[in-house]
Amino acid sequence: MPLPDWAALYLKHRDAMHRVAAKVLRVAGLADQAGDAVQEAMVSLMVSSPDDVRNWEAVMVVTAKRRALDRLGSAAVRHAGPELSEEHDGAHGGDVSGEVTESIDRKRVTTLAWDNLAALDDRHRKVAWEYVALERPRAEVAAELGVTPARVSQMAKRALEQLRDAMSREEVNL
Amino acid sequence: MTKHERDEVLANLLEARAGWVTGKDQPVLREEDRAEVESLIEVADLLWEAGHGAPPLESDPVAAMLGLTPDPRCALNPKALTRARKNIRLKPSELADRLVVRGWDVQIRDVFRWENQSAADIAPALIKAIAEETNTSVDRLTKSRKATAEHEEIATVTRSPRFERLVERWARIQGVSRALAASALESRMLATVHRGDRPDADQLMQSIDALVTAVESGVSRNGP
Repeated sequence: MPLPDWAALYLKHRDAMHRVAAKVLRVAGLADQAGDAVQEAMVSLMVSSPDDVRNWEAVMVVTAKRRALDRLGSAAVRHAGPELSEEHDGAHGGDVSGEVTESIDRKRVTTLAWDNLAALDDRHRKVAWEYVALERPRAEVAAELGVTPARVSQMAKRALEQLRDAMSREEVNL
Repeated sequence: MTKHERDEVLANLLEARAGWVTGKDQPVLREEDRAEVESLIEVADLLWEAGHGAPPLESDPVAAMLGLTPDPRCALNPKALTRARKNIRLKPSELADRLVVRGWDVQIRDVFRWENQSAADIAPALIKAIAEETNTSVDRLTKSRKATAEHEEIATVTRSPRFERLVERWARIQGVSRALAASALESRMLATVHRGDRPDADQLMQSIDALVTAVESGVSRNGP
């Protein structure tokens, strides 16, 4: 079976790739390197195309995750710059079904959280998105809303409670 | 624990997640308070992930590298598409089906739109796929329009002999026309600029050079 176009595959799965890379790198405060990890994942896939792929989303998400893990490892040993080793290129091989199921399920729940933002009022939605999701400084968000930083924390808590309750009604256990 | 204390704990945890150390000692949480705060932090983590998906297409250097950023200088020509499709007696539905097999999310109504209304938003990578499925060349399917002001911004780089050589290398390893290769590399540079970085000409060139070299070395290692 011929390979699908890399561009088409990337268009479909780029969001999941970025999200998983950012999540992995976040623990070391390196989430802003997610784009680099995704680029390394795509380059490694393009130069070493896997055969007999049943689930491209799985291959691409797992490759992005492993490139992000490579970066974490590199950061830990203070090796600067991207590495293009092929150590983890075999995302299509081996048993990755657990990682894939987890990733796809996580994507579903994340989408649900995003969808439920629409149910919040404008000010609580702004706090949830700007302060919690994008991690903008609390003082900045407070200044834009004309409230105190402490009030932003209260609003964040209220927004998170509303989202949690809405998701519980959709049978997501948190 | 009072409601206020619980609010404080949550606020401190949210600050700590963002890497802004608050320096405050956390009170010890009772079991029910801990469960409450943890469930809210879990929702916060989901929101964080929702906020860290892919950047917009025009700011995504990988999308640009792959030819996913529409380029006004390489726009699909509706008449040329109709001509190419009819030349090989392909129905619009068949063209759509062929593109779907290649991974593109295309429906028959898209093909009708490209031929009869607007085709300006078609990415170069999709034009390449259309060209291959209609047995024609990208050059025959496209019409060139005026360069945008953004392209002028990076003109000092794109008019240099070094960039020309990179375009030739990229065209060779990707198996695309020179025009398509130039479009992809220029879009890659523009995405970096859109992302908010302000690299100088030399940094832009080095970044493209590193990318081309990485893909090139992989291709030569693994064969064509």
